[in-house]
Amino acid sequence: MTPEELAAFHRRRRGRNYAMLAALLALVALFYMIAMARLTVG
Amino acid sequence: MSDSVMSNGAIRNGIQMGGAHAPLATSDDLQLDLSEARDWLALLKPRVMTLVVFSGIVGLLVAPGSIHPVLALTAILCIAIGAGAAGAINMWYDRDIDAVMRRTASRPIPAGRIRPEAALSFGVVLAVASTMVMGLAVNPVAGAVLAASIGFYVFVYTMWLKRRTPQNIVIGGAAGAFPPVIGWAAVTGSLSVEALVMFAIIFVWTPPHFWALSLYASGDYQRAGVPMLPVVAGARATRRQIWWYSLLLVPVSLLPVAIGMAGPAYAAAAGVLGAYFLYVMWRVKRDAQDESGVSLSNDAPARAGFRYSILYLFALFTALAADVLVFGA
Repeated sequence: MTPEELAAFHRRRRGRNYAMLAALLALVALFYMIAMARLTVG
Repeated sequence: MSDSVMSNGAIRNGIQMGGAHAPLATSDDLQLDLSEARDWLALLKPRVMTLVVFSGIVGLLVAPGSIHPVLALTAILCIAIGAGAAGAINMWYDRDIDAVMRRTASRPIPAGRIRPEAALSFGVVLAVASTMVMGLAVNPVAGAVLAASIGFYVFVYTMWLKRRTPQNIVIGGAAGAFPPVIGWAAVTGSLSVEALVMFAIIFVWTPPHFWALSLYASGDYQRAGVPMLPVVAGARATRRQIWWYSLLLVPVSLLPVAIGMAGPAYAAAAGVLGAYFLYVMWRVKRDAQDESGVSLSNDAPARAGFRYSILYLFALFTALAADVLVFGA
């Protein structure tokens, strides 16, 4: 694997990791809001 | 020393270095891992998802009763993710035919950017997660209908019908008709005739919509051995079927008025939209063609028909939501 390919790999992996982080944070926020909503609705 | 050996050495050094370079195990892993975040998003078929989400929102809006905004948002999210999950599993199953079709050859699996088993896992996890969240956070009926829609798309359409019968999208089209029913169930916790009417509209709309596309993509389907109607029965018979289903669609689109779900405003909108739908599909039927039915106009009417069919459904459901919300029919 050439240095360019390795750099491209790191760039792709960084992108995937950020996407995963965003998805997990969104899930945390969503589950918190669902819990609050269910408490409000009863 | 060759480049590959040098790079393997660099990778092993990376493992010893730890930190950002730590998980690099072998050069094989690197070569396999060509995916970007947008490839995973592409597995969810975001363009198809737009219409799914929109019709789901309309189902939520026109349903009687109320739902907490957060739970409504959750329901929409689950519909979107569930539909996307079904799309990912579909791409996993159809990877062989996707690879030989021009329209789909650049999808992440046939292009080699995502491994098939990874796509399958991704789809199954999202399908189970979206169904569970819908069932637990919104209500069990909505969760059950979402599960049924995913199962129908994957098992009935993708695995059973698609490669076996030219009626594949007639029956399989039911999968795409579920979202407004799910939206309705999310609010009411039940199913009713209004939800089934919205289901019927999308169900009858699907054949002319999809067959218009398949008219100008039939070469792709032929290469892939998929028995779409133009491949099996020819373009002329397909145009006839498009016309008959279009004729059926107009009265079906007026069913919301017949059952008292919508009023004159919707009736007027459905009438105008339906009349133009018939005009567009009549042009498809009357397209200049040779003896075997092959278009002499590069299928220009079919392309226009496909584009208008999308606009039609968006406009029709917008009219339905507006009528119910404004006039409260």
